[in-house]
Amino acid sequence: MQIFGAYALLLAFVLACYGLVAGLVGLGLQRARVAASAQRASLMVFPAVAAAAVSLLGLIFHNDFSVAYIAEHSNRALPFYYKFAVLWSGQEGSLLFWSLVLAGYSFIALLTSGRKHPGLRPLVAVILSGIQAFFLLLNNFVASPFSTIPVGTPADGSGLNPLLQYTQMDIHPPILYLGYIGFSIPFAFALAAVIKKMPGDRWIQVTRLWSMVAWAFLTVGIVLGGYWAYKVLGWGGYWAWDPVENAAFLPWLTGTAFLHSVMMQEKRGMLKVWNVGLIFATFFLTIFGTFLTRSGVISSVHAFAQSSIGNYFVAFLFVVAALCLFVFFLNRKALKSDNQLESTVSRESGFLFNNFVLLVAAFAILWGTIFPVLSEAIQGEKITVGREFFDRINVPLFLFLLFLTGVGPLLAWRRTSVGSLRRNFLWPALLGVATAGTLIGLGMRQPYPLVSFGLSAFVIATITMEFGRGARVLASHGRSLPAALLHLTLRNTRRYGGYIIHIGIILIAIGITGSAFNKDVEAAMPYQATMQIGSYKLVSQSYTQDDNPNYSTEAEIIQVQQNGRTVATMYPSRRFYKASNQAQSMVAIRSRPLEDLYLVYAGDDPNTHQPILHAYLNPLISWIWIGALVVVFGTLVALVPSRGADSSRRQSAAQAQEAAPEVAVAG
Amino acid sequence: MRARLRTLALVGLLLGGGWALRGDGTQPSRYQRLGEQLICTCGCTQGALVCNHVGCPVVTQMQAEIRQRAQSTDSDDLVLQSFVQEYGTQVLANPTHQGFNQVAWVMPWVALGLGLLLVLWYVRRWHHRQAAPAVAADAGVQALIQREIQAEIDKEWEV
Repeated sequence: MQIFGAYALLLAFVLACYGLVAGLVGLGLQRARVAASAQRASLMVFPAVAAAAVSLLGLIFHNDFSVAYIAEHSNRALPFYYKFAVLWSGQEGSLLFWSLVLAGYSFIALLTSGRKHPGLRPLVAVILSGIQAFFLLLNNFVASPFSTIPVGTPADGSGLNPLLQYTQMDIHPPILYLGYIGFSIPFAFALAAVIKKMPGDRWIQVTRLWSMVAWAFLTVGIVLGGYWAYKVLGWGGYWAWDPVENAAFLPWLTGTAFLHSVMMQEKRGMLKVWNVGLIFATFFLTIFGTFLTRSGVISSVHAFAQSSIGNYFVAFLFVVAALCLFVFFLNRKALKSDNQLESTVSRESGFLFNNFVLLVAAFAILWGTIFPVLSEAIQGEKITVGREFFDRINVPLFLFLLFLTGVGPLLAWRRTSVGSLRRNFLWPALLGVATAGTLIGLGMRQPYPLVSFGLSAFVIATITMEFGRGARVLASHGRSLPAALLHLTLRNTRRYGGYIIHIGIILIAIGITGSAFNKDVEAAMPYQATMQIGSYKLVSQSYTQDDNPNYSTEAEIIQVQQNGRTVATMYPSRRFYKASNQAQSMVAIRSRPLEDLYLVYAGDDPNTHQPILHAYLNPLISWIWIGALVVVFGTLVALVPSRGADSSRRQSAAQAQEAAPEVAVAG
Repeated sequence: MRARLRTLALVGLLLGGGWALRGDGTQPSRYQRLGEQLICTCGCTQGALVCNHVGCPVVTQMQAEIRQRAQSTDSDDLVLQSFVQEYGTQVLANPTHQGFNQVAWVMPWVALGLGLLLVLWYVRRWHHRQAAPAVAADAGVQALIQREIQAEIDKEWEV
C-alpha cells in the first residue's frame, strides 16, 4: 500500500506537469488536441492524489509504523476518529492533504466551467496545473509522506500531539484548508482573464462565486481555530494574534475587500484593476501564510517544525509575484473602468473606504507579523510583537469598519441625496446613541466597548429597517410577515444574504467586545477551599483519577454556586498522554449566553503540592460562535440564485445601457 | 411599526448584555497586567501567562517571579525593566518605543495616512474628470442625467 501510494503521488505529479507543459504548448501553438489532452490530464490529477491520500489513510489505520510519518504522528491506542487527523497533523501529510483539496477544487472548477467559460477553461487548467505541480513536487521529492524508516520498524508510534486530540481538530484544518486553497480557483480565473484581455463581466461572476465559497470556508476555519484555542489551550482566550492566526486572517481581509469591491465592477464597471490586484494579493497571501507556517521563520504553537521547505515556497512566491506583475502590466489597458465615481456620498465611496480600512488592517497585521524577522535581520535581535500592538492599531480600524457596515448598504449607487440620508440614518443613529448613552448610565465607562455596542445597535437597526421596509410592502399585498421576509430574501439572495452575513459579523463583534470585561482568578484549591469570581462561588469537592490505554487523567471536582444554590459541578482536569509523554490541561466550561465560566486545573503548586485552579469569567463569548453560524447561513443564502428579480434587473440594466449609452458615459 | 418594535427588541437584547457588564470597569490584576507584557523565553514565544508547554524550563519560574514582583511597590516600568535585565529584551511582548523598534509602531499609521491620501486623490481625480462634461452639458442633458440618477436611487430603494 505504501508503494502504491508513492506511485500514485508520482503519477499525479507527472499528470500535473503534463497539464502545465502540454497546456502551454497547445495554447501557444494553437494545437487544440494537445490543449484538450492537457485539460484531461489536469482532471486526472484528482483521482491520482485521492488514491495516494486513501493509501496513506489505510496505512494509518493499519498502524504501519514502517512509514516514518505514521511512526511520528500516530500510535496504536489512538482512537479511530483521531486517526483521520493524523493525515494533516504533520508537514508531509498536510501537504498531501493540500494537494488533495486543490486537486478536488480544480476537478470541480474544470468540470463546471467548460460550458460557461470555454474560452477561459484551457488557460485556467494550465494555471491550476502549475500550482498543483508545485505542491506535488514537494509531496514527491521534499516531504514525502510515504518515506520509510531505514532500519527497524518501531512496535508503536510516538502518537498524535495531545493538542490535536480534540474533535475540533478533525474539522478545523480541513475547513481552513478548503478556505485557503479555495482562493486558487478565483486566482486562476482572474489571471486567465487578464492574460486573455477579457472584459470584466465575462469572468468576474465565476471569480466572485468561487471567492465566496473560499471566504465562507476560511471564515469558519478561522472561527473554529479560535474555538479550538479556547477549548484546548487553556488560557481563557481564543485569539492571541499568533503569526499563524494572522496568516489565516490576512487573506480573509483581502478576500473580504474583494467581495465588496467586486460589486462595483459588476454594477458599475469600476475598479477592475483594483479587483484583479485584490484577488492576486489574496492568493499570494494564502501561499505566504503557508510559507510562514511551514518554513519555521516564525515561532508559533500552530507552526510545523523548522525545515528547508521554506526555500521552495520563497521561490514559488517569487514566480507567482513576477507572473502576476508581468501579466498585469502587459494587459492593464483591458482593465479600464467603464464608469466614474460621481459623488463622495455614494455606495461606491462606501466600498472604497471599506476596502481602504480592510487593506490598512491587513498591512498592519502583516507588518506586526513579519517585524520580528525584520528586527532580527536589522538589529540581530528578534523583537516580539504581541497583543498590545495589534489591539492598539486594529481596534479603531475595526470600529470604523463596523460604522461602514451600517452606513454602506444605506447609500445609493452613484449619488445619495441629503433627504435620503436623513430618512435612512435618523432612527438607526438615534438608537446607536441611545444604546451607548444607556450603557453609560448603567455604569460602563470604557470608550471602545461603548462605541462598539453603540455601533452594533446602529448596524442592527439599519439592517432591520432594510428587511422591514421590503417586507412591509410585500406584507401589504396579503402575505404574512415571515412569508414576506422569505419572499424578499429569495428575490435578491445576494443582497439579503449579505445583510445576514453583516448580522453575523455584528454578533461576532459583540462577542469580541465582551472580552474587554474578562475576569480571572488563580488560587490553590485544596479540599473544601472556596473561590469567588463574579457572581459564582467555587467550592473544591474532591479529586478523581482515571486511566485508559491512551492517557491517564486527574481531575478536580468543583461545585459551582450562584446566589446560594448549586448550579453545576465542573471537572477541570489534566491528562497525561502515554505515547508522547506529554500532559495536557482539559478545560471545563459552563457556557451561557451572557458569560462563560472557564476553569483550568493548572497542576500542583511545587512548594505546597496543593492543586491550583485558574478560573476565568468571559462575558458574551458564545456570541462569537453563534455569529459565525449566522455568517455561514448568510453565505449559503447569498449563494442561492435569486428568484427572478436579479436576473430581470440585470436584463433591464443591460437593455437600458444599450438604449442610452451616451447617458451612461456622461453620467 | 413592527419593524421598529423588532429593532427595539434587538437593542433591548444588547442593553441586556450591557447590563450584565455594568460597572465592570475593574482593571485586570497587576499580575495579569505585567504577565501580558512578557513572553515565555523558552522559545515558544507564547505569553508568560499562557505558555502551557509541559516541562517548560522557564515558565513556572517566570510566573512565580511575576507574582512576586507584582506585589512590590516598584512601578510597572521598573518591574518590566528588571525582567529585561534578567532575560534580555526578547522577554518583552511588544517592541519598545526606542530606536528601530519605534518603526514597528509608526509604520501602520504611516500606511493609514498614505492610504487615506490615495483614496482622497482618487476621489478628487474622478471629480475633476467629470467636471468638464458637466459644465459643457446643456440643461436637457443635465435633466436627463438627474432623472437617470433619481430612477436609479428609486430602484435601489424599491423592493
